[in-house]
Amino acid sequence: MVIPMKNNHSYPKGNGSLWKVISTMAFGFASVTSTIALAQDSIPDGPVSINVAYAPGGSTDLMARTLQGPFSEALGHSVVVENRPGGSTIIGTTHVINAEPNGQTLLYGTNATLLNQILRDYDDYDPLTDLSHVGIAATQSLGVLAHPSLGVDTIEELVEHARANPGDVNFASSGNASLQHIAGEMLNAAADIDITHIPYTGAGPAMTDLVAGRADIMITSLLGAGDYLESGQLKLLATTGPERTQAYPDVPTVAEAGYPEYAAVSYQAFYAPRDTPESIIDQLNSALSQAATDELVEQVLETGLELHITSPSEMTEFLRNEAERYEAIIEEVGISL
Amino acid sequence: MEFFSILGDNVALGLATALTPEHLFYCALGVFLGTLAGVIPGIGTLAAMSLLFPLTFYLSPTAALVMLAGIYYGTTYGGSTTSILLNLPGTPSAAVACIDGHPMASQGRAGVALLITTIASFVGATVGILLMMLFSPMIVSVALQFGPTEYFSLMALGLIVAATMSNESPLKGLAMILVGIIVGLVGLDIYTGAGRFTFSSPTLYDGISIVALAMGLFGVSQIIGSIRSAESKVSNIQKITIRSMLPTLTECRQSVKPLFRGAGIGSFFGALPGSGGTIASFVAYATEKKISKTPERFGHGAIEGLASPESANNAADQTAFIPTMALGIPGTASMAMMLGVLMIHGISPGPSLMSNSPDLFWGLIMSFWIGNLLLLLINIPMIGLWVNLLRTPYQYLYPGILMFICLGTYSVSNSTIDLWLVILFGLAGYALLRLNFTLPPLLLGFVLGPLMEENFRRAMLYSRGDLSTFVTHPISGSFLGLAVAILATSFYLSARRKRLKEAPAP
Amino acid sequence: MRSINQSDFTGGLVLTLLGAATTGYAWIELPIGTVRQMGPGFFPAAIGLLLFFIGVFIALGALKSSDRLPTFELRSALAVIAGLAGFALTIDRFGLVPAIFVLTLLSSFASQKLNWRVSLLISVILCVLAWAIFLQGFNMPIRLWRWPF
Repeated sequence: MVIPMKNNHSYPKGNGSLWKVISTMAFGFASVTSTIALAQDSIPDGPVSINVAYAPGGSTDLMARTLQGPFSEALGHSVVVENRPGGSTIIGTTHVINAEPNGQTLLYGTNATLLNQILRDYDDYDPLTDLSHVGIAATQSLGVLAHPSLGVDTIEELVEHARANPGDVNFASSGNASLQHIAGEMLNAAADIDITHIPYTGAGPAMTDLVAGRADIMITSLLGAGDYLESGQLKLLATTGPERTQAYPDVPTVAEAGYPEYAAVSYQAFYAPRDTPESIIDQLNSALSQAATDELVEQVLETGLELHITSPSEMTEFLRNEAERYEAIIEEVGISL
Repeated sequence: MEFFSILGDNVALGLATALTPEHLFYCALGVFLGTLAGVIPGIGTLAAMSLLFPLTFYLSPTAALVMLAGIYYGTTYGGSTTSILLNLPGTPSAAVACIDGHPMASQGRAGVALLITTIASFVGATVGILLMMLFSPMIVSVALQFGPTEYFSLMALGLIVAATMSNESPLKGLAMILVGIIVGLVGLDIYTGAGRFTFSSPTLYDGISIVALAMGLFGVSQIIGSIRSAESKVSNIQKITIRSMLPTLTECRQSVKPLFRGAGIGSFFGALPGSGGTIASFVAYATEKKISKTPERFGHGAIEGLASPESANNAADQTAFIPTMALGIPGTASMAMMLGVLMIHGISPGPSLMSNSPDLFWGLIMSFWIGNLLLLLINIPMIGLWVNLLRTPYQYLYPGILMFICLGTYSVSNSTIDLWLVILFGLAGYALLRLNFTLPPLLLGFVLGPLMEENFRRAMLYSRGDLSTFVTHPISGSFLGLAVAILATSFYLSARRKRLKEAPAP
Repeated sequence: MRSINQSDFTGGLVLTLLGAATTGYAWIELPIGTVRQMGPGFFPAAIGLLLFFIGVFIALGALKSSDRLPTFELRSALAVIAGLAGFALTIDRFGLVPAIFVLTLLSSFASQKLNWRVSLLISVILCVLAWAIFLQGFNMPIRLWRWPF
């Protein structure tokens, strides 16, 4: 069946000459009427946009831009990254939810995509059902870092110390309702302790206060902490993933320290609008897998992220688990956005 | 002596790294693109860097950093150009350049203004770079002393200084700061996530975009006010010759000291992670006005009011690298991106960066200097071109300015919400201008107000509600003392001026 | 009636209202909290109160001097605002080129020296400029035009 495309738009060609553009402008209407999509079950001609719900320059944006080139090559479409910041990711997410389910509009989501809906009682959409899942792209375990002046070396000692000095220990996070915050509250709940949350705006300033010894604990990416661990200016008590990390195989996980349910993993994943045909999802997923070459995986690993494209069903499964975990903790400690 | 020979070796190593054709090319490219991004309002440092980020995969880490750093300080420089020519600041520090830069341009001295900006950026950057080379470790240890308590007091000081910088009464300046703070508070509270002035609309959750605020407040209000007045007067912009670009001897003499004072102020504030550059340019401006024998010239094209803050914000740009490079902890998003580039290439940032990759560190520092030299070389010939733009009759020019406002604002978030805010702030700015209020303090309040609240609340969490923490911390205490002193003097002076004015009339 | 500084009086009054509204909103809508655990309403309420008093001072100060209310260029304001609003309404639905035309044509009403022929010419030049800088130079994902129907 031949259906006319609803969004007829001419994107400027990357290297078109001035004349070409002037003529495009002059004959725009002609080309508009002749542009048609052939079939529903493959991505229509034209660029595929990866929507990032953050302003340019953040780690999610940069990862999307890292994948942009290889993904475009594997998919055979030009790929653009569009930043749609605002509403703590609601604006960008809503944009994708309302887009045509033809594979041309994707969302590069993070933990926040799911957290928003759970934390905020924001029920305009549910990322589990109102979006199709293309695949998780990158994951990262966090580390529980402590300033040496606190005098603890393990999770057990931290718990003991916190119980002996209630209200005295604090933890810094990159922001209210961030994964770092949730991870800290999950530790509070799991170990039945009460360490005070001190939110910052971004991991950088929080880390500075941790290094300076104003903050006691921070659960954060271990990226860039290497020097501080080596010199003893910071201590790594545990990592937060379900398994130990490749970078610190000798450091136990929080789960190993006696809280088997505990897991806090940061991830970035591709979503598409609801009811995107399965063939298109598969096409996108296989292009992503193709794009994640060993070389790229290795390069990305340097930034602390493990690049590994999961299958769509693995992503759905993973999100369901995450949602349950978050819901439980939020019910228990009552964080709100 | 040994210290200097090591330093000499390092400089030589840095120059050898920075002067390879590859690095020179990427330095020039970065500086050029940065200037362009800066000149176009709305396209900020981050957006420009983010767009070029994928390219950095194919470059050596040094080349990538040199290019991104070029964009970073190039944008600061370019931003002043638009401020001076069109009164369109994209950042708070560029708003300071509007105060005296734009009046200079209106008086036909745009060439002088642009030239002094170029020189100021070079002087400021050079001083910043020298301090960075000589005192990095010391500066870092000072920066680590700055916790929430100190930041709060620093920001209070910055706001007080800005309030007292207008020619009108300090009361009106203070009022503008408070309005700015209120606008800045729109969004989700960072401690509890409660929506403040968001009226349950997700579009306001992340607060009001500074680009929309600055474009409306300065750009649109200025256009509305200028269309008729520009049509009724004959263009007074003279033909551009080398002569008319050169400052007079008096102007040169007037600028030398402010250039270095600004550089000093900028270097200090820049090294504090966060909004150092913004505070630096406002403080530099206020300082010049305070110590000037003719403060009434400020706001009407005083060259010191342009030279000092320009020098300050470029110096701050350079010293902002100190905590980032030496601690490996990014203070701002732009810095985070630069560290990201390092990490992609397998270089872990952190205190050992300097000893582990000296060629990269010193190459980068030397490239800063070469980049600033390139800025000078690229931009001096451009000044004539820019000034010619002003000779275009205003009725042909203003639709274009409006287009840049629209597209610059739109491109930030790919949505039209910010455009409606531009309209709102444009009208508000126009009304405030007509009612004789000074607008730059509003922008500073917008930036610093929320930070001040954030740090106040954090300080209270750390001190467990003990307010005396602000006085008992020595750094914080002295900032607050200074702020009180400045406020008291300015009210005293303003009251005395009023009495003197009213005295002759019985 | 004695003469007053009308600009300052109006300005002061507006600020007073803004301050009162801010404090009122914070007081009603947001928890104020304690000094140790400041609520989200604490700071806005305090700032609003401060602004309220400063507004009152400015308005009172205006009683002592005299100045007339300035004139506002209503025609310019309306034309510029109409142009910006036109752009905002057009860009997503119809694309960049129509939006620039709407912006330029509407805002040209502000000027007495612009006729429609010149405005059209300016629009064309601006389109080319916008295309070159924003689409080619900065690779922004903006559509040149689209037909929504």
